Amino acid sequence: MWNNQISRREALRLAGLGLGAFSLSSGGLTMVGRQPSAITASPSHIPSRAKRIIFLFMHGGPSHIDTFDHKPLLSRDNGKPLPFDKPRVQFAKTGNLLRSPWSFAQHGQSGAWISELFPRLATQADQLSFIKSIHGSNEAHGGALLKIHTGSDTFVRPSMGAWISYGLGSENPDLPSFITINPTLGHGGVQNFGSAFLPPIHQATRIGARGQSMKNVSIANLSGAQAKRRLQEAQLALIRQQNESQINRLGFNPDLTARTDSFDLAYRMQSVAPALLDLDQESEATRELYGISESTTENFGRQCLLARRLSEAGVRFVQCSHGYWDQHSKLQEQHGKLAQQIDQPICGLLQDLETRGLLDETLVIWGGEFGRTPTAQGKDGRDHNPHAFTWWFAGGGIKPGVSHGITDDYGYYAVQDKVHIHDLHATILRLMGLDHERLTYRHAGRDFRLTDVEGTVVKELIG
Amino acid sequence: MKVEFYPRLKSSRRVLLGFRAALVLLGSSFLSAFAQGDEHWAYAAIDTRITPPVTNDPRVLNPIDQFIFAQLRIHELAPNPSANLPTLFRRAAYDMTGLPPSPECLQSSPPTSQQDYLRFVDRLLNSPRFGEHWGRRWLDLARYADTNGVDENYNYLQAWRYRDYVVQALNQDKPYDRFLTEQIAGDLLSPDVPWQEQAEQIIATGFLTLGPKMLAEQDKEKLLIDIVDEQIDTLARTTMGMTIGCARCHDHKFDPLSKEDYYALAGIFASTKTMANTDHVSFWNESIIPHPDNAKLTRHHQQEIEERSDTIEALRRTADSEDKKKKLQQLEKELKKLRDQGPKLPKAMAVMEGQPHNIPVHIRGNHTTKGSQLIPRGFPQRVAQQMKSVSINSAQSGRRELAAWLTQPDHPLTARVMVNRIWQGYFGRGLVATPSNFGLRGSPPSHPLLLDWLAAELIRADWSLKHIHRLILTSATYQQSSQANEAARGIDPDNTLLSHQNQRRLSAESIRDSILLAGDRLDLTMGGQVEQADQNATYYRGKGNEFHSRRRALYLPIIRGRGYEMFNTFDYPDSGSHLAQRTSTIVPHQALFMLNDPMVSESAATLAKTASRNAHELTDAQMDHIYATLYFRRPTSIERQRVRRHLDQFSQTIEATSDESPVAALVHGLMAANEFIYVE
Repeated sequence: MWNNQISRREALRLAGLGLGAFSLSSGGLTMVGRQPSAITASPSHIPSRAKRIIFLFMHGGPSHIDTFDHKPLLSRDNGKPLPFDKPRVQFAKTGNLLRSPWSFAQHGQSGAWISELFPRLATQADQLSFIKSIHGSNEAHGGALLKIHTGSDTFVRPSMGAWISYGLGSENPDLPSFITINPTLGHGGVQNFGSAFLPPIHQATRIGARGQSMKNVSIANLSGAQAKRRLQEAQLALIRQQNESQINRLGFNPDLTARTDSFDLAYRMQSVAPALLDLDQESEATRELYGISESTTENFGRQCLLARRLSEAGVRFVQCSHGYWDQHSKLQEQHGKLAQQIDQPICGLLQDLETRGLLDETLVIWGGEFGRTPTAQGKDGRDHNPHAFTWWFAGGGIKPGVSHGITDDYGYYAVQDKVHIHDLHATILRLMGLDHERLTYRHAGRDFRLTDVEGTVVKELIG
Repeated sequence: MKVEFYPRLKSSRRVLLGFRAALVLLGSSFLSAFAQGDEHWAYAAIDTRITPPVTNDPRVLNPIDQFIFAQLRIHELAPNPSANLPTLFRRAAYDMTGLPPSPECLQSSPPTSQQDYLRFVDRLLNSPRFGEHWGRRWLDLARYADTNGVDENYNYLQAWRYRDYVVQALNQDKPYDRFLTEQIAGDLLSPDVPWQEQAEQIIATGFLTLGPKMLAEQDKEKLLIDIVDEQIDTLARTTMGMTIGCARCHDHKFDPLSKEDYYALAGIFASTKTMANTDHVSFWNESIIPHPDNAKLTRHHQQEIEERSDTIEALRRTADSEDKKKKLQQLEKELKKLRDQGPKLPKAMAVMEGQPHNIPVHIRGNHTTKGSQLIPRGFPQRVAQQMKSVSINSAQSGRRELAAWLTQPDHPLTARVMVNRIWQGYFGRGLVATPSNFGLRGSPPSHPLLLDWLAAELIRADWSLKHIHRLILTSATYQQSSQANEAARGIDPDNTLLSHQNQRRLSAESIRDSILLAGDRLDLTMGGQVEQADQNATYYRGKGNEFHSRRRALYLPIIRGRGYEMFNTFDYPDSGSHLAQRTSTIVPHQALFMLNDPMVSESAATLAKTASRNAHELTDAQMDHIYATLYFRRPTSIERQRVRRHLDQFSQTIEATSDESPVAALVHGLMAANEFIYVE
């Protein structure tokens, strides 16, 4: 039939039609046969333990030097001028060094430094590995968010989640492979979870948006009403018959057939998703574990629990956004409050994944779009700092207990084993079993990658 | 390697299939090897002497068919007969206006002849809906939006003027050379024209400023050069099908474009003023546009200032109490604000001349590492070398000359690229399948002679776009039915040779407008600014889906980063950059939309009520009305039976107490079926 004549573009388009499954081989796409699902799991480049990602994105730029990057000299030299040059371009003017209001201690066998902002997370210290020398270039939120999510702050490019969905496919034919929970709609908006030129099936399905209460969010146009269901089943029969008579009249057209099938998939998704979104199906103990019964931790707890449920059901990439960590002033008050909102939920998520035997195959990542300056903005704030920041990793495929990379004595610049955002992306793809140089897509006459022409895997992090 | 490109098309089917197989096997590396060297077809001059192949085929209606049928004959394929008239009417109406024909047109005076079709085409070419639909396509290329997007999502409160300009220009059939010239250099054209034209010329340059800008970028030099980059990229892809953006960092890997070519063009835009300031969060330029009321408004403003100054003076003389002093301060503050604001004259997003200067190559695209030599402003050499030369006045930016150079009749790309875009709009795919990449990595044309003939025809017709539209619409090729026969399916599964029309899904906008129109809920008011959630605010702060306007989709504000979910679902992605063609995916979210979105069920309910007062039964005539509205045809007898059967079933399913109507459920189902959103 058409499978040996099919053009590459056609093949890619059909990937979105539920007509084929694709595997990545030596960087190219190969058609492997007709499958019933929309995007079916594809074998990865490199064997890996991680199958899914939960990305805890801290919007606004949490301060690395107040959380995980311990700088004793910053306390000693509080109030003194920075003894070296500030960057050529800064977002705002800052003054002298400002000590962290929080004390640090070492935790677990690995002796990981964690500030007193995260007492609960500290109990999980031995699950974590840190990269403390991440650096980017964009000092404004919008550009930095786009850089973190898509690798480019200059052009419209597919997001990391879309690339991973494209590279690995879906594990569950009834669900989207990329879901983002409560993302910001500013600072790049949908571009941060979009598919750009990749087939749109790889863009994230959005649940809620920044500032919305998790109690009443859902996926657009999902109807759970039982009474409506019966009528809809009857309507689906009509739609199918009407479509079939058109196809009989026009002859074979894969688009028309696929669109007919897509209604069945939609209907299945509608059957599966509402139950998945319903957190009341979890035990009281589990809800407790995520802090859902406490008002401070309820909202992010719900996000984390939903993330686990979706991930467990086979969603490749789940992103939970939390904010707003942008403390140009009132660092102590606001960072304190924000840390409290996430500490228990994240600790609960890691414990829950482990209990269920999922932690080994689920990569959990925590981080923001940049760090903050060790110098003071105003009297009690810190400015944006894309020159040094910390992310941590847990679970699937990592070597736990690692602390990679070093910043200068005050944490202004990454200085040793520097990890650029492209390197970070290369490493995340590697942990998912994808080679960042072979995960390519042909568009506008050339092959594109998440890492553009850059990217070095941080091998120290790979388990 | 020098390769004759044209003879391949005259060769046997075996060679073509061999070529195709080789392409599949070797991918495009084969193609670039094949086409490398100096003879890349797209940079060769347009052959204006081409005549259509001679034929006595009675099915030929115009020269387009001579080219297409000749190719089909080589491959032993025959063209399809014409589609039946209702199908053809529906196809043409959607292709020309983005809306279906009115159902009355089928019911009261059904078309009976080819003459009826030709009259219909002429009527639609003059319909204001034509400029709306094709204007939307141009807006895709111009990455039109009503907000800045990226970092600081500022409202582009004046962007709508550019949108309306485009719609109007296409409706008036403004010659394409003029249309381009105004968008590139409208502000530099003669001011000795009526004020309306002056206004249009300024508004048109909005094309250059509509791109997303990193307004909060603190490295202002980077901000400005990134804006230049975005302008060049959009302009070159839109007008020349050239992906010159690559040459910002290095010589183009595949096309004969050097870094020097890039920075020669970049100098033109670096000499152009796009931004009003480079403050912490920078702001773009808005120019005052001429209007007869402007003088009056300015006078009133001046008078108001004078009056207020007098009041203040009077008060100052008697300001003896604290209260009066406070009042005085207040008045002075207001006066200052009034002065600063200036008279409220109409403005448009537009560019102006900046300081003319040449710029050096930025090594690896980095503005902090510049080459030592300044590159004279100019045009890509590989294309320019064979054309009548145009030199840039060193005292100006060079935009005027750029526009003149692009619209010279000997420019090999401008006309080819544009006729190909029009073709794409009528067949779903261009003669060149990569409409914004005519470079070595783009697709070669399926019918190079026809492409050149059409390009030459556009220039011969004084750049009348409607002339090309009419040619295509009146060709037998366009009017073919869309059923592929066995032979065609085997030899030409992608239908590159056009042995039949293509079945195509409607665009997101057409789907939305059709849904509203079916329920008679579409507001056809044209132009102007659709109310924004926070009118006149600097930032866009809404959530993105709150425009419940029933105007055509074209008029809904496009909010970067917060597209309408329905638009995104149906493949209108973010409007952050030039969009050469819409994809047509099929994802379950589209089905969910058709099944559950109130927009669909409400329109279905309205149409059901209009069709029949009885919510449980339909007469044949009522069924005819529903099918005419949704599919522009009569139901078959099988369909009539099916409708009755389903109506019974819906009646049983819907509980007696519910206010849901079985007829509405039926109409809803018919709207969700493929036929409603496909043209055959």
